Amino acid sequence: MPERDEVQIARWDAIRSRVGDGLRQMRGRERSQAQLAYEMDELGFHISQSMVSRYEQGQGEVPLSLERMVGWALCCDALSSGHLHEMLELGGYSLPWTTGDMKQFDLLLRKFRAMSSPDQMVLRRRMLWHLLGVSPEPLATPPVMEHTR
Amino acid sequence: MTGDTMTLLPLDDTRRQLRERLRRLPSEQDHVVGVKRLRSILQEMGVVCDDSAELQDADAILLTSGRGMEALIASRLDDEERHRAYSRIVARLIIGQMHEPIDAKIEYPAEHLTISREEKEEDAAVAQFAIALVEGNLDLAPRPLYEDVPKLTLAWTPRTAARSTLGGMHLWSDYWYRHSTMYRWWRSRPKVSKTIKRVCAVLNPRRPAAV
Repeated sequence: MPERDEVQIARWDAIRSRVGDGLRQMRGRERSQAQLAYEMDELGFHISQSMVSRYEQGQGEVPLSLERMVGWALCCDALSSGHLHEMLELGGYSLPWTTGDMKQFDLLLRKFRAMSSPDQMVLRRRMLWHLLGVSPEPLATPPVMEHTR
Repeated sequence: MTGDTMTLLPLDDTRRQLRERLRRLPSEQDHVVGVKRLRSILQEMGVVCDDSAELQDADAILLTSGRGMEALIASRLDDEERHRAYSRIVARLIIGQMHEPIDAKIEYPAEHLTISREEKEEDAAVAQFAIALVEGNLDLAPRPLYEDVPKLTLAWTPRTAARSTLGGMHLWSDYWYRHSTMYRWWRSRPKVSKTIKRVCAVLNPRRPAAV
């Protein structure tokens, strides 16, 4: 486990139960913990089903990062939910998007639910970057020629 | 995304610059060169292009937000397919409506199930314009898509009447190209294209080609 300050541990202890509630509410009943863990893993988060369970029960030992909160909400189509907003506030995080903006993100995610799973994942990975407020970086060398058959 | 309250992404400047570049784009038979040219144009417009997307069904995705624009092109495509995918992205930027704060357009290799009639019409117009782009034959599409054309004005004087009539025709052509399958088919016939060129030359003899 990475070294953490006592203050950080104490703060996380104080909020993790409420964060857990929020995480559980975002997942809802229609999405299983296993499904969420799988989707988050595909997005690039190293989260297992047991970790999903522990976080939801407020037993996660490591503070939930901004990226994981947003990734969790992204997989649950719950970016515009009050739960994410509340969790971000608890964690002291903020995103450069309004509630109305987040609704459009959710709408877009739902709209493309019919896409194949790999295609959805590509879209979601990129949306995550946009959500976190990081501009897409141009590639240094155009790889056009490398793909010729 | 079809909500009434959604704001359209202001793409006028990008479109104007794209049209400018497309007019000068030489007709290209080599798909590798064609891809390079379209890719350069997109990058000039600030679109980040990634040719290594692990897309299974879709050929490409155009993603726009306040953070920037991205074109994700499937890595599985061969040169010709990639050329078509890039053409569709360019065509999408010219014809399509993108919404704020985030929007995505998915480019499929063939006709695909879409939610609304508007999206279906947009997809069809984009596909047809992309064909003209790949073939390097922009004449097969309405001129307002790639040129500045005379405007339809109400100031009807003998001097401006011809140009205004031409503007009205362009407006009509652009509208039906976006909404009618039959018109798109008809407009992409070489004979029709030649006839339209002649009409343009008659109504606007000073600039028959570029109108």
